[in-house]
Amino acid sequence: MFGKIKNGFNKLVWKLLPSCKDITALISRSLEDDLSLREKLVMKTHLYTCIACQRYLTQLEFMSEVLEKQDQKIEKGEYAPRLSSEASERLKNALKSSKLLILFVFVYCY
Amino acid sequence: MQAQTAENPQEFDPTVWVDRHGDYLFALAFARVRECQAAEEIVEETLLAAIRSFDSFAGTISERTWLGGILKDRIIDHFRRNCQKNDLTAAETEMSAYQYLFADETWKDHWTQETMPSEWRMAPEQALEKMEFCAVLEHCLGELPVRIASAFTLREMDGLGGAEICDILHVSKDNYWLMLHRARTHLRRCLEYDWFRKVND
Repeated sequence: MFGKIKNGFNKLVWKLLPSCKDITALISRSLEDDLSLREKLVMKTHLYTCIACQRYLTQLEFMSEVLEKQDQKIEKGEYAPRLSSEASERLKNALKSSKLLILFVFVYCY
Repeated sequence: MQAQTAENPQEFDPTVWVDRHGDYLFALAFARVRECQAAEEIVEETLLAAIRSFDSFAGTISERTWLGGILKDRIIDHFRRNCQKNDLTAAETEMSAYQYLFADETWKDHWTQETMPSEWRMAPEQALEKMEFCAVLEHCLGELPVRIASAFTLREMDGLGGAEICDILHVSKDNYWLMLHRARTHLRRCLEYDWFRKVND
């Protein structure tokens, strides 16, 4: 009985309210905390009826967390890209010459 | 710090930063611009800026955190320089490549049985521990138009606010939402098909 009512309700929502395609845009915008009350209501109602969009939201949250936590991984040195030895040398040379320049300006000014 | 520098000038040797923090800074930059040469340039700019402002380094935070902060400012400058001041191009707003995801026959613009998002049975930390996942993530982000990837990077990796990002990338608020939606749509699909569906199989 409840199943039937729920089924009918879902169909009504899918027929009358915006489609999954539009809801995904709303979900994305909701992460920026900018929905109007009406938009919020539309999104929540749709999410209640649609497992696919529920998963969409979970996946977006997953992606946010991954990108946010990437820096911690870099901090621990567990991220693959490293400075090549040539680049290291180049950088050191650039720093040395810039330090000399600063020293020169310093001596010159005083 | 300043006194120490004046008394022992030989102790202030910025080249040791390269050995101590070079890989760290490079990795931070590379994760954001995904291009070796640009990342190296940003590291160089960071260290040069650090020499100039060394006197203001109070030592209350670690050297690494201090350098990381300078690098993040340089990244923002990099994005600002690289983004043209024009409206979004058709290629940047093009969403038709994702239309097939919503090609359900009964309900217009709804997910189909085949394209509906699957359950990602993995915690973010777990995923990040896998080298292959990180490679897929990097590849997926690399497929986005530069300005869109930049907006997404600033938002998700550095946690900047919308208004700030609009200013850096010279875009309107509406376009900013559009860019993030495009970025999320793409990255989600890419991770789903290039990683999760393969792992779950």
